[in-house]
Amino acid sequence: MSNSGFPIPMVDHLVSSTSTVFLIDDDKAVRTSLSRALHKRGFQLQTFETAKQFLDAYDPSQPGCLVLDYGLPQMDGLKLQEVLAERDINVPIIFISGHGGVRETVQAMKGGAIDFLEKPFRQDVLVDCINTAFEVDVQRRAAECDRNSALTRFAKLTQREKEVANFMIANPSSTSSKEIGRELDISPRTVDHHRARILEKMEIGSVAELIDLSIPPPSDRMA
Amino acid sequence: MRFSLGFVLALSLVGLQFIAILIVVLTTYVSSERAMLTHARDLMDKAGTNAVEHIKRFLEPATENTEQARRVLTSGLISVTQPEEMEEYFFQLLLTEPQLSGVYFGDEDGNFVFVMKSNEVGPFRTKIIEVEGRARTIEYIWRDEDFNVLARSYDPNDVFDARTRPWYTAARQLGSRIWTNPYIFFSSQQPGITVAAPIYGEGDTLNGVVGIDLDIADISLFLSGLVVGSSGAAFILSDDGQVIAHPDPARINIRNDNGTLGFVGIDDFSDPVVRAAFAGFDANAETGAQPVRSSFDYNGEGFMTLLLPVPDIDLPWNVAVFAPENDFVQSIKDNRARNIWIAAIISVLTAIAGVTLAAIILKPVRAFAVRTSLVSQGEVSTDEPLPRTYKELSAANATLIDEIAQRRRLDTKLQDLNRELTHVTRVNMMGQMATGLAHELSQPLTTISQNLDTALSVAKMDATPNEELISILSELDEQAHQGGDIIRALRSFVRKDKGRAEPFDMLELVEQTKRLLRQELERGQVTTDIQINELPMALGNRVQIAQVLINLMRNAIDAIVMADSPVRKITISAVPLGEMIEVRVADTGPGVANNITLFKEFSTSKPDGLGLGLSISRTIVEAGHGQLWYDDVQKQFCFTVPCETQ
Repeated sequence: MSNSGFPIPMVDHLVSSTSTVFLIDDDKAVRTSLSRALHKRGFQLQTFETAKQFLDAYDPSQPGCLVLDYGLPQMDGLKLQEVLAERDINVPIIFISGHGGVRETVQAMKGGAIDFLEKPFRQDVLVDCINTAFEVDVQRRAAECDRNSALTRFAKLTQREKEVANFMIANPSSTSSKEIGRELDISPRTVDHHRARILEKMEIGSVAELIDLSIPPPSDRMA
Repeated sequence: MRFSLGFVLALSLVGLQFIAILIVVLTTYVSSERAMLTHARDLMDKAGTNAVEHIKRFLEPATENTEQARRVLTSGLISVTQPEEMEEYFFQLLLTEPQLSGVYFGDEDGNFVFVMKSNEVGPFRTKIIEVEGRARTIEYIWRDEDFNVLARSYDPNDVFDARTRPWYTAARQLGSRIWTNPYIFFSSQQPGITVAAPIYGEGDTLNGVVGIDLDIADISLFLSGLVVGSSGAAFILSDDGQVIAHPDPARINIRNDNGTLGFVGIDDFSDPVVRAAFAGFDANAETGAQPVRSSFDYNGEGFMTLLLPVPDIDLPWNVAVFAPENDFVQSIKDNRARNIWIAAIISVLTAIAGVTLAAIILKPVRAFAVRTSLVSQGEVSTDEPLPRTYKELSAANATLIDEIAQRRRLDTKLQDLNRELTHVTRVNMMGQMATGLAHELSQPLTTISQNLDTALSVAKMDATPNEELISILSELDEQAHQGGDIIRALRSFVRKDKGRAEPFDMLELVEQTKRLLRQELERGQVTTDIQINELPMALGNRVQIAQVLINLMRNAIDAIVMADSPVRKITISAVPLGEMIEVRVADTGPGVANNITLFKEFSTSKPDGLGLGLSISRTIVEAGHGQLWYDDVQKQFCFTVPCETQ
């Protein structure tokens, strides 16, 4: 792309070219300059003036990251971070702040922020942060996707098969057919039969793989 | 008008003393007057009784002699038909008692024998009238004390008939002994009285009547010798209102209209005092045989009277006594006037003594008061020796000196805190303004640096990059970031200067900040309620925390004043909460409006506020590892400060 001697950090197309930067800052000049800079570097960008505007418009299935001004009016950056956590939305967040207090930084990082940048910051630093965030987002989404497909497959099991599978997940140390049969009050042969069906339906080769899938325990899924 | 303590003391003393002396004088006077008057009554009673006894004794011989003569003449021991025997017998009777002035006998036929004391020719004179048929012989015989005849004479013209005389008719009619009314003897012009008794012969035929004349002028003589006070008197008053005897005998007899002599009536008595005392005297109404005591005023002078009936005699006589009260009480009356003067003089003397004494007693007190005021004004040191004074004042002085010293210490402490606060506030204000400015400046700097970055990348992406432009843009970018660095340095300005954390007493600090805000509290008519009990020592920068407290309290006062709340109270409470102390400042104002962004620089609801107070306070509290927040529910500001752990 560049044939000059001045390399500039650009969007990492290898990670994701479909990810979006969601920029929230109440200062119009900051929004304009940042969106222009990031556009120039090939990023897709959506800007919002307030946290509420963002929450109204945001679709969690959209991959990307949040560049969030700390000192927003009404709902500030930290508060938005809390709201997102409550809604189980795990979009990576990069804080930018004119305050830069130690306390705010610590709290933001505790909340899972990628970084906390004090204004004014260098563009390279921000771009690096965004790329990191994108990578994190992509990995998280992939893991979530795997888990979701496992859950879909798990859902296909019969009631008895689910019971056997849950017992094995809950008691990984006692997975012999005898033990399971005694516990569930069925014959070891029936247990063997169920086990074979479970491995077949879950498209896995061993009980160990089933435990790795970390299907939530039954109590959580009964609701 | 204010009086000095000494003056009031002396005046009250004198007043009380005068009243006390006066009461003693007057009660003494009243009781002694009463005693004297009682005594006077006794004296009068005694005089009256004395007079009564005297009268009874005076009249007794007449009664006895009459009885004796009656018995003698009735028994025939002396024959009533023998004038010579009777004359001798009567002569003997006259000699026995001086008050008898004459003894006589008259019979039914007109015969008459009369022996009397005489002033002329001889001391005794006998008059004998003998009747034989129609012939009458009237003979006068004068004798000496030894019954010797001194002279004889006859008076054929005498027409005296005893049978017509009142004493004869009365005795004859009643058939028993009688007394005549008192009368004035014609011959001697002396008052007298006659007692007469009928003499019966055989077959109860009346032989005649014997009579004895009694000279009662002697009673007056006796009365004149009777002492009733210094100017009182006693006299005899008959039931029909005639004055029978009086110390001044000249006053009692008058010449009647028909030329005869008689007694003066009480209503016509020449002594006006006696008239006033007993005029309108009515024996039946007034005495009834009982003594009558009374008193009256004449010419403004008090008099006492006593009316005493004379018992056991056949005469309706009463002893009347009167005396002016002053005879008895004049001396104590004089005393009373003198005593009041003495009381006044004593009071004045004690007044002078009292004032002098009070002045002497109060001198050390006054000196103490002067010194105390000088000490409190700081003109005299508390170390100056105390002037000689009382033990109580010395103790009070010690307390006072302690108090002053303590107050000075407190004032000094408060002044120190105030001075430090002023400094810290200024520093914090500058710091916070710097922080605020840094934030505000960071926005445009961000824009500038971003745009420069973009411009730089655009320039670099050119086919033939303009090296000069890139260099200029790079320099600009560097400068923008330099600006950013300066801002970051500014930002940490406040945080760097936090001072050292030291243990301090939160309650004491709250009390001190309250005192610092006293004027503002009073102006806003706001009261404070401090609810702090047992607390561990707080750990932090005392002056910085004071600034937080002052800021919160000032906000509370402003809120109350701006809303003009009916209840105007700020409540400051503090409780230990684990390793922290939580302080709450509540006010009766309306609470924080929703559109105010608390803790943000330059955001304020006050017309002349900078909007830095709360953000500074939060910075201070957080720098000391505490938190500052607004409790939406209870509408109060809270902050925490670490406390000393054992």
